[in-house]
Amino acid sequence: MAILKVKRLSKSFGGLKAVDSIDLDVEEETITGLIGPNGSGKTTLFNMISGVIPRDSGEIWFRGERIDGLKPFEIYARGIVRSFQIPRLFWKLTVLDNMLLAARGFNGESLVGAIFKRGGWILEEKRLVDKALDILDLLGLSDSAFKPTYQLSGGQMKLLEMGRALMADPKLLLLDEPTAGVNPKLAYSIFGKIEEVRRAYGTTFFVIEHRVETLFSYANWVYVMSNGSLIYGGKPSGVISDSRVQKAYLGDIHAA
Amino acid sequence: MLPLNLPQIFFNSIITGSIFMLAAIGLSLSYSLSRFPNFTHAEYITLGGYVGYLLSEQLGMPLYVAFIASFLGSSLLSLASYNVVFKPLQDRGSPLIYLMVASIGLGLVVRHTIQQIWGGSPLTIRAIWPRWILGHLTITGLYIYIITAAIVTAIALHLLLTRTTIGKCIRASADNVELALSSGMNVSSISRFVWLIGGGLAGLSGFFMVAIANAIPLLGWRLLIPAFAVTILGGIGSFYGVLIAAYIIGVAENFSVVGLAALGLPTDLKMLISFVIIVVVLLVKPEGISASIRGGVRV
Amino acid sequence: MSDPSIFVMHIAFRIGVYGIAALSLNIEYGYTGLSNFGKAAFLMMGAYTAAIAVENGLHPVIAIVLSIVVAGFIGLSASLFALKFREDYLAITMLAFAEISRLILRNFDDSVRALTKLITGVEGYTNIFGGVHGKVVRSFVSIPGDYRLYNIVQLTLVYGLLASSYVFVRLLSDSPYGRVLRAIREDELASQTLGKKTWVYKMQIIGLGSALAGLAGALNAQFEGYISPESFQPHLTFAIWMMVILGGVGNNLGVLLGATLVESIEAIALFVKSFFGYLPFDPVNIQWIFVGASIIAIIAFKPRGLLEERPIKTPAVEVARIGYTKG
Ligand SMILES: Nc1ncnc2c1ncn2[C@@H]1O[C@H](COP(=O)(O)OP(=O)(O)O)[C@@H](O)[C@H]1O
Ligand SMILES: [Mg+2]
Repeated sequence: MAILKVKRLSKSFGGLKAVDSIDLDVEEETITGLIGPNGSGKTTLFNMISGVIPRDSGEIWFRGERIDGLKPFEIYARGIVRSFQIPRLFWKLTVLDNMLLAARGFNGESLVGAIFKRGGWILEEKRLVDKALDILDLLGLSDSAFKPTYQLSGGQMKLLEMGRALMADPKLLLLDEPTAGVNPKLAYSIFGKIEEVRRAYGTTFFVIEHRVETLFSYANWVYVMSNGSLIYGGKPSGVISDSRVQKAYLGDIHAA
Repeated sequence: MLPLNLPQIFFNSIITGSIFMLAAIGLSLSYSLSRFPNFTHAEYITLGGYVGYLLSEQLGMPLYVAFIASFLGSSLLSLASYNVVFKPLQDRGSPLIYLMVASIGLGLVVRHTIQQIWGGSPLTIRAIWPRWILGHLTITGLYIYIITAAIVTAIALHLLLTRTTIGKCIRASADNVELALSSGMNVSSISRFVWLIGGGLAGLSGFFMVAIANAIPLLGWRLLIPAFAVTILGGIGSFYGVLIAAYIIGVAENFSVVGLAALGLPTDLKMLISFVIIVVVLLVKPEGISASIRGGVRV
Repeated sequence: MSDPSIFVMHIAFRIGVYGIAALSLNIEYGYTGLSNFGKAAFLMMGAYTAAIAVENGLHPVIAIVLSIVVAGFIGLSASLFALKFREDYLAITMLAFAEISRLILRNFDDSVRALTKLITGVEGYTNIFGGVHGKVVRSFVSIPGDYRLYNIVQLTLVYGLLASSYVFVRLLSDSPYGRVLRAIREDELASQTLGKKTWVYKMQIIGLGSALAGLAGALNAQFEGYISPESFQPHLTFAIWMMVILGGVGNNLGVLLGATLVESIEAIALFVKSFFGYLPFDPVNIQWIFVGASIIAIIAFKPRGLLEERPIKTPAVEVARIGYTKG
């Protein structure tokens, strides 16, 4: 069953067609990869799915409900959480605070709740802190839990982006280059953890990734974008031999 | 309905618009080049007024000397405030709001220094201007002065912006600082030039305000809200936007004065026009009219 | 003001009042990043509300409540428009809003008079706000004869309310709610993708901040005994910003320290002015030159203020932190 369906989705910036009438499905409980040369429109696609930028035309369906046009917080409420390619963390807050901020339905976050239901949220927060520390442990970040976030290394920031998203118990997690700036060994283990989470909680992952080999050893399905269009959708094993993909990447190499 | 002296209202609108234009050019250009709203700008206006008063009234110099001095005095203050205060703060990474607070702080320093020197009471220039009456229209020599200054400024800046290299750099940087920086332009020296000229023009507007009415320490502050209205309606950083917006607001203010007076309401309330323009433009079309002038949106 | 005890009383009172105002800006700018440059307007609304309330024979407690409600409500209404703006636009709009509010108050009675005449043809008489002449405000405290007791009651009132405001602001800032405020300050869009309805928080904070500012305005008005539109110039807003930046953005104790320092400078200027007869300079000018120059120095050399922001302290996080440092 497809958890996410994108239909004829388009977005232009001025004259540039960043995403050009894309159709794709993400199957439930899979790791689905999205690759493509720089500037091919991958992040723009994620921005539209997560409601961060409005679409020009097309439809987005999530678990049978149309979600294009919804606000970011409404999309979060439906179970889609994203990470950002360039980390957008709350820099002056601690790592643990960043994690707690992603928690779902926390009553202490309302004005009345914060002041008049202290007993309630203090207990609730205990549970959330434990959960956050578990996730940080999984990602190897527990030593930094009480550090201000701006002190993390680039790779740790990417890990925290992912950890924060996991904290929100997503049904669908959009990860934008989760292993950029991380060493290859850690990158491999990050995907190992993604697979672990998928198994344990049935989470669906839609992942933009440049480390094609790593991605391919875990992904069930792969899409390839080039210049705003989808040029491949299928098993990872078929990507290398696809002529359009070869052309897109070789063209990219020539341009660079 | 009382009879409207339309020619006079339009003529007064041109005077008001010319002063707004002179007052707002520097505010608008420095806002987009240096990326913060500079509240010290009000004091460039005030200083120009007092320098003009000092030369023409206290030292008895001819008016054109006072006129030039008010430009020079304010342009130097403007350049100094950029070089000594704002540029160093920006290099230290001060955020926008801090720069704005610093600009209010520097404004207080300048304004209270002026008040310490000249006192707080209104001061007037007792020049006698020639006066012509054409039907219902009364024109004085001062008004000719103001209109000429506005026309010369508009043409000179237009030529500068379109015909010279530095002018083209100013336009490019006012349009998109990141792009200008990445294409290797020396944005700092372009900024210095803009602060220098913009401050001087503000000083001129202050001199004219003093010649029309009188010099008070709050002179510039009172012009600042209309100047922001012009800046925002014109589109921040757009010279042609300022030209058009200044006269639009000039007309709106003069008609509102007539309307308020006709209703017996205090004419001070004309300031509401500027405020409403600021709020409505920011809500509806934050890029102002500059986008329409260029026939498209900023990309 | 030749009696030193009156002088000290005056400073002590003002520190209390502006402490409340500084706390209110701290929740707006310090925690939430909302650049409210219209603080003076909300103090003014509180002040006039209290003045009119006691003028009409209402009990001081009701006058205080009304000031809080009126200023808070106007803040909330203004936020409906203002919060659509990015920070510099918000700053300019709020500053202009404060100046326009002052202009309207100054001209309100005249305008009503003119409109009455226009509509009914009768020369009416309106005196609600007192125009440029301002208003005499009756004190909340009335203890004829005993000046010492009067002062004690006034100070108890203002410091009692300051302490309550402080506790309230601390409860908010050291809670999950306060954590969301800071997240909005750091990155509003990222907060939205984590499900926060950021504009709800921003409206609440502008409402609360304005309400607290209204309280400060009311307290000050009844103590000074006289208000006019000129009492609420942009200088006032600037002084409150100075308290917050000097004391420490995002640190509640810091901004109280800031209020104490800024009010002390003001007090010194007043002192010099009243104790020395003729001076070759006006101490008020020197005061503002000094204040203006100091803020630039602070922004350049100590931008985080005297007391820096501290991490959010909630019980569960503190327990975990202790466990972490031990383990
Ligand atoms: N907010 C924006 N404004 C203008 N152009 C944009 C914006 N976001 C992305 N683009 C452009 O759209 C294209 C696709 O960008 P992006 O989606 O980030 O690609 P990718 O993530 O595949 O590298 C690029 O040419 C980029 O410059
Ligand atoms: Mg990308």
